[in-house]
Amino acid sequence: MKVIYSQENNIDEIIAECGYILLRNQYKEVNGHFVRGENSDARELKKKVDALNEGTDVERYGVCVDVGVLNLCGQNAYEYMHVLGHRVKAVIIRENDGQHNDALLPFTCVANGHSQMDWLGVIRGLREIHFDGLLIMDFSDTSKTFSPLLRPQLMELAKSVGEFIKWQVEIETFLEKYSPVALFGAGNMCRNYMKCYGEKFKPLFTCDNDASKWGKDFCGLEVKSPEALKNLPKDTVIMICNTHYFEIEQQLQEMGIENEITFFNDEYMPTFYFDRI
Amino acid sequence: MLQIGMQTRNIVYDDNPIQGFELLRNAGFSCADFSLNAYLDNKSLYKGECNKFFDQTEEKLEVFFAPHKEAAKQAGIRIHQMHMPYPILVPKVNSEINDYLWNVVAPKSLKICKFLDCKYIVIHGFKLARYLGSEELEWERTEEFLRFMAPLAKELGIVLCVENLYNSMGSHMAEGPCCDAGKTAERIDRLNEEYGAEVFGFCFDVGHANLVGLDIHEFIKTMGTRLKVLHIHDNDGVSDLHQIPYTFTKTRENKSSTDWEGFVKGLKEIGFQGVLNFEASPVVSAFPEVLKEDVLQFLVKIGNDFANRIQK
Repeated sequence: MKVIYSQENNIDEIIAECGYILLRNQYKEVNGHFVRGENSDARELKKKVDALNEGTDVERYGVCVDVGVLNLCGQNAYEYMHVLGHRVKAVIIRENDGQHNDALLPFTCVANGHSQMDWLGVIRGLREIHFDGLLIMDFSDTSKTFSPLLRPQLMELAKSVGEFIKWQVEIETFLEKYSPVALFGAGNMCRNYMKCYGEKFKPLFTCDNDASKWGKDFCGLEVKSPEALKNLPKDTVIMICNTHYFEIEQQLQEMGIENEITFFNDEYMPTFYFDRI
Repeated sequence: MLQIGMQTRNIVYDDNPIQGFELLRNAGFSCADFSLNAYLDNKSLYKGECNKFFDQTEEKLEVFFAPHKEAAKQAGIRIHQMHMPYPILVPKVNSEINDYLWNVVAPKSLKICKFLDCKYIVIHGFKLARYLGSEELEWERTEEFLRFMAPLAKELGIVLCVENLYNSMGSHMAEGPCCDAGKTAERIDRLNEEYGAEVFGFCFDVGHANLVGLDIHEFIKTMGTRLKVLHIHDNDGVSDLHQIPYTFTKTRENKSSTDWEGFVKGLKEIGFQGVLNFEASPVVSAFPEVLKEDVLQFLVKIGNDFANRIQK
């Protein structure tokens, strides 16, 4: 997956260079109110793209999903991606309040303490279809409001956000590559890992600093002391399933563990429990 | 001529139901949408609180609602549809409440529906996609509930109508259960075929459709004759305000930002024969008492205009 950052209105140029002819989802206006327009119906769009590709020697046509338009039209991003699958070749990542056609940096358009975008649906959908195309970060409207003096810092933040979204989307791809991993943490996050990925990517074991959990079973995994990590093969990745990521990473490094350490995150899981432990 | 209906919330009160039904009749309504959901507040349910109204035996509930039935009859108002309390499944609350909603509230709602000679009851599908991961899995749970209700509904001759809903994100609304007309129509057909009767139908909520940017005309056309019940109301496309149609504009041209033309066109094309029912009770509570009847009459005028154009 390639992440491209756009602070200007140059999305069409970016898309034109991607190697495919892409159809974009659009809205239409009813006296100032945005409703679903051309290519909003994923099933119809799927048929359209398949018909265009039929008879061509290579796949020439695909879809560019503008998540900002999905939001303006109140659409379920997961279902949209789910239907289109591999046909999605580019995704325009931008935020808006669902009322104004803005291109804001993700997670910045907040009301009542929540983003007004369905990022859960977007990430779930892209993860499920194993999206590997162009991720175009369009925050041109946010950029316009920043003083040129602050834009370098804004760009840094935008890059972090882009990398975060890429990381979230690629969690399954990472697990496919590095499974089996060893987990650290025997709490809610581990439980969520096991619920969503435990069957497909079963870890070797998990460990926890809480000695009372050692030797016990947690969601089908044996809980061990962190000392057990010292005996892992060197190419086994340790995945931290606890929000105290950096403290635990430091602890493991101080223990002399040289295996690759990575973070698991359960904010955008394919499913959730109705309750916490 | 198509009949015009109005929900009873904020109009028909338990201590003097005849007053409310007469108010509806005097305003020009001939039908009512009985707000059974008012007896079990949804906000309380989301907090894990559930009152004991439905603990009463069926006989006691019939006694409780007998004055309402009699008042509607006296006023010449037909109870065409009603709203089952919702939600029937509340994530993150104890299973005791969910069992109660499913096994006690829902069947008793159907019995009350029958008692009031009402043919259609509106049911909210479960909002579980966040937890279960997809709309398909969410629907499976709703269908499980619908299947639980179907034999009783069939026996009582009641049609269970699912409704298009929304989900909230911050202050923004996005599509919720039953917003995909094609899928919903297929599901209704499949279930009806299975039960060998028209046990399931659809309730189209225009305001909800507007909130989530649905193409109103296309939606109605796809739903076709499965569309049994309407919730007519308007909003600004932002919040679920349940206001008078044509209230909201967004441009200097000052044209309605809700596609009422698409609404009328869709109903005309499918040959809609049901009731033009307004779910606009906040209008009644917002206007001063002295204007209550006027505002209700105004809704009837709007309904009559819809009816004329649908049947032209």
